[in-house]
Amino acid sequence: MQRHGSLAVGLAIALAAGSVLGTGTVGAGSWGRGETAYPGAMDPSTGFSANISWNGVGIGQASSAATAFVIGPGQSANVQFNFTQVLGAPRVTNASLVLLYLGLTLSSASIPTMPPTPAGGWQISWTFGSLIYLTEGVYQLDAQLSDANGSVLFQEPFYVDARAPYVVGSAILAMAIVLGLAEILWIRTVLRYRKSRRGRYRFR
Amino acid sequence: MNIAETTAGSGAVLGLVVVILLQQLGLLPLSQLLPAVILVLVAVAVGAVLFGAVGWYADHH
Repeated sequence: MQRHGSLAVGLAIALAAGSVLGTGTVGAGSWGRGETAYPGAMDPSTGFSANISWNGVGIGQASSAATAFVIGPGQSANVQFNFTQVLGAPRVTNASLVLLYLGLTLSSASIPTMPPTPAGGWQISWTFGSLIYLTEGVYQLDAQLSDANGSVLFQEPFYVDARAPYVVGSAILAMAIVLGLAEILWIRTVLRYRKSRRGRYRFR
Repeated sequence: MNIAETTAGSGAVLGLVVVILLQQLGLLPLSQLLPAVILVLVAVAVGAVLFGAVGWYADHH
């Protein structure tokens, strides 16, 4: 019994660790000028205005897990960064997308926005990559614009829903299902064993 | 180890599995550390108490 329980706990921990440590080569960056303008946010502290879109849709549309953008295996999304700055403000030198899980950076994709200009539009072609075969589900993506010192001038979080092939095509989901079924079967076995031994001796 | 302890341990693992399943199925974001840890602890505790109670009931009735 104890050995089984330890095995189950170990598998569960391995699942969680696999989720956290499943860093892969995610997000291929490319860059180019964009033309589309979107209503965006203005940050008075930095004199900064930015509009970021996902395949032509403002990322504000995916501000919660329920409204996350869906991305499948082999698919990529064009994330467009448009921004304007007031004169004298720190210049944007980098646009990036950071995928978060349990507060950790699971992957990041970035492009240099060189030469620094007070306004511009850059595009990242983002994909979940081969990581989708390890894990799927809903994740937070942070769209960031930063300056040469690495200071984040603008940041807007949104959610993506990565879907593996055949719904259960990711390793962690499949392992979680198997582990869940094993635990249910184990509980059932223990209870049936207790029932069959009732009146003879106590379960030890 | 009695039945209640055994089923409570399995229930705790099931709680963790449920959280992972919900995240993997796109129903639950676990992006921020603190909310995720709280959620996991609550799920593990609920699973342990629930299935521990089932085991205790089976052991005493």
